[in-house]
Amino acid sequence: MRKIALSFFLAFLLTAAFLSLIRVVYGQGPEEPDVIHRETQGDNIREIYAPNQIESPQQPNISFIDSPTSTCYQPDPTQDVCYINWYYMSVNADPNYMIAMTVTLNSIGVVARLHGFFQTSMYAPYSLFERGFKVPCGALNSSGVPTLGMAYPWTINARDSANLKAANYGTVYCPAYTP
Amino acid sequence: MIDSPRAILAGALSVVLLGAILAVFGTSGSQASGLVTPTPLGVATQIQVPADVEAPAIASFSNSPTCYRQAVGSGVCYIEWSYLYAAASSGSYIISMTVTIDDRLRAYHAGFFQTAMYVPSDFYGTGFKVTCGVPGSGGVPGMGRTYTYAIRARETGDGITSNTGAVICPADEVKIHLPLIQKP
Repeated sequence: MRKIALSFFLAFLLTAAFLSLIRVVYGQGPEEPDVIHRETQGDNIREIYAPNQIESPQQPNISFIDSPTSTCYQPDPTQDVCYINWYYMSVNADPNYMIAMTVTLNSIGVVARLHGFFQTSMYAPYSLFERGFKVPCGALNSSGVPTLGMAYPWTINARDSANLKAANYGTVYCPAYTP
Repeated sequence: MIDSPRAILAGALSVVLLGAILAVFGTSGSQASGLVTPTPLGVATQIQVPADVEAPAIASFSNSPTCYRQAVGSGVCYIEWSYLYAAASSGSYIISMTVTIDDRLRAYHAGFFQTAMYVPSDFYGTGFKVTCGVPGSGGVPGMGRTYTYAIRARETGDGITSNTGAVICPADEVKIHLPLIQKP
């Protein structure tokens, strides 16, 4: 009788250990970040989020990134050369410091990284990137829109010293190159 | 001291009347100084809105369309504006603003959670490159080619506004200076 009870107890312990192991392994997998604020407008999305390692505050200090008027223009119609730029990019994390802001053209990669230097906000006017980021305009309908050229989805990320993050996601269309 | 109720009532009524008169003057004054802009010859502003909307609210401005020649003898001119501006109606966002020159789309601006869009003159660098044209090619003696343009803006409530016009370029021809080589 005692042997049966002991074997049941051992089986219970083994099962519990096995289940806890599964839970630990599952918990080590990638988890979605904790989104604090998120807004959408058509294809445009802006959000503020916190990595899972930190407790997300009710009122984060980092603001939405303000990045109006994403633009693609073709200075010379005889060349398949367009430039992408924004009117400005601005983000504020006061009283925290801004660590960095990155600009990514999703099909190309990171095209700019702005570093904070003991600053609580970050502002990048269009002139910072001179004419903008050079890209191929693309042929008519290459984005699926008959009157336009290529489409370039983009992402702007920002991070403050509390490791809170803000991100903007959008798409800009280019004029087509029609030789 | 005024202790008659009639006098107090009369005073209150006169204050209300005075306020109403001032409000009417204020409204008409602000209308007079509002969105009334002089329209130069050959420039048109058109606003299209859904049929159920009574008053068009989306607005756009394209100020001082300019064509300039940077280098004599290059044949190259640049078109630019002192600024482009579009504002959405209340509660709407600007979706896009486009720049078309001679029926070719040259710039696409996408809105991002914004109710207005402003593009300064130096945003496009030197401007949009075009051919200046020979003298008289645009129908104006001594001047170069004439280009038509359209600035169109669209908002989330399906409202569309467009500015169309023409810009005349200075004349310029490509001059190639061949080196003078003497026979030995």
